[in-house]
Amino acid sequence: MNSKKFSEAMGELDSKYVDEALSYKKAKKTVGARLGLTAACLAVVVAIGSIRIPFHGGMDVSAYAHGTDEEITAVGAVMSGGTISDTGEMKGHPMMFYLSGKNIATVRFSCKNQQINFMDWTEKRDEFGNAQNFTVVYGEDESEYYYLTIDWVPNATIRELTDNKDSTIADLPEEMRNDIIVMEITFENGKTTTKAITISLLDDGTFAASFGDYQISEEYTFVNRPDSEAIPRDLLYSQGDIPVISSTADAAPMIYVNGTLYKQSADQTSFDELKDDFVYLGAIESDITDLQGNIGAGNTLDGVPKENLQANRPIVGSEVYQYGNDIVVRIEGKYWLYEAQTIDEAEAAARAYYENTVFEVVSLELKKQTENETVFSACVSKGGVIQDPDRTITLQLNNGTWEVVNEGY
Amino acid sequence: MIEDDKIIEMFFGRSEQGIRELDIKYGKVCRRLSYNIVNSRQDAEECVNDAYLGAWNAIPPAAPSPLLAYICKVVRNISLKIYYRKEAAKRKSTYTIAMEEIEACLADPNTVEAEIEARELTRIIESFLDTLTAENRVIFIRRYWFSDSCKDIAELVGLTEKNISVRLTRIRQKMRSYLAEREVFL
Repeated sequence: MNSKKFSEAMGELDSKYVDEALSYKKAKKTVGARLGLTAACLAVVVAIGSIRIPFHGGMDVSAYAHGTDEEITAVGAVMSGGTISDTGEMKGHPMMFYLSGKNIATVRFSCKNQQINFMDWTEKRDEFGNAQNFTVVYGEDESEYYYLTIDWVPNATIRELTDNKDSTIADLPEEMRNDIIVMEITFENGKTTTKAITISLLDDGTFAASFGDYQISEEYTFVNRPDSEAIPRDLLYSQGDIPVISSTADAAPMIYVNGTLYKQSADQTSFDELKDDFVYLGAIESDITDLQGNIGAGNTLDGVPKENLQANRPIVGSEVYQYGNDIVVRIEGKYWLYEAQTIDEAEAAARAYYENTVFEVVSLELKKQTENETVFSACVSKGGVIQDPDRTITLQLNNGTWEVVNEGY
Repeated sequence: MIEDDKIIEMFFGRSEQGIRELDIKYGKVCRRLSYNIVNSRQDAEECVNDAYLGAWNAIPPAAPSPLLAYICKVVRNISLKIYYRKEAAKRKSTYTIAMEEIEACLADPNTVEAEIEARELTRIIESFLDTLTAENRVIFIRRYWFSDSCKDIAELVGLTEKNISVRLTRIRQKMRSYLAEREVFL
């Protein structure tokens, strides 16, 4: 309850601290960057003008950015939800939105170049993972529309920027910088309308978007692709079915700190002195050697630590320091290097996930890895037939265990 | 957008339009703050509505200024009540993660636990905050008061996510020493 008491004390802070944090503004961007943005915005507006058709009196549907609740208008604007860098590092969600309207029966989404991920926060509808075409049942309860979000996932662009070190946003081909999400909306009374969100990646890594009426022309064949099949929620979120990846009796020395499992480096690297860039994190608070029935066995390494500042060696009280992505632990006067363990466990969890499906994993290719998230491209077969294209599976680290949070095309 | 004074005036005049204006002006910030804690859009919506009702009952006689900080405090308190009531059933919110960070910083297994009054702890935290730079103070408050993610804070202050993470680690380390010097062990 330490943190609860701390939180309560924080709640009583003088309002001036809260007000300071609320009114804080970051340093303004340079004139050059602003001019770049303005020019890019103009380009987007021009581009939007060329694809929009005159208003034809469709039913009233609006789109809003998730998180900021900014309306996405026909004029087009730079979105504040996320950015991408020349190295392919994406921050936030460039285009995550929800629709608002009345009496919407269904919406069929078609994404031209990249993928989109539907999430139902009411947890009633099935989802599709990362997909390009699918149909969502909205239903008569308008209050639920707010909870039905679509997240645009520019994996192809990220892959291009990540895989090709020389490529920059400015050099990307048209289809990697621009995308369109078409929405064929059917209302409860049977009437239909078509809307679209147009997304453009600007030179500075920000994204501009607009929302408006749309007319499907013959050249846009992406709308005719078949819908992806829904992934039942109990399968998509079947945390209990995903086996916890744990090491057995001969496990290496490990420590769990701030949501990450660290394993002692294979070559047992150590430092004699405290370095300037070590950042103190805390001391080991517990070990799991007693729990394993090996009291007195000293260095018997059994089990995987799962609680914060826990080890699988009897080293309670040892100081732990952050060292880049890894940590060092002071044991018997030396600072021993422990490396962040992520990928092996994540891969095993991904494979375990597919064991519960009709797919058989042929190969997994790492596409993205951060401290808490790993994305694989999965080549799978179904009934002995290799599926094309590859599927994408996303895992997040939760309490030291990799859990599948998304899977699909 | 309508001035805070006008909204307060509407509350004093018992005009429900005041609640609508409050929601138009600050609803987004409030919902986000609540969502960071309860990790459910539905619960967040209810917390914010309850906060509006709380404000409606408190104003008058209260005439809070600044209004946003006040309504955020009410939203935070209500959201924490829901959080602790439903904690077991919740997915991990950014509040949970932020408190786990703090837990690691506050825990001191070698010390006999000594009780400290919440008000006294608040005073000590305030004096600690005064030792920080404005930027670091904002980062700390955004993380441990608003429960913002490192990514959101990074965007707010114009630094990288990694930089925010390292700064928070250092601020926690500094706070640990600050509290220990004053013999505050939670």
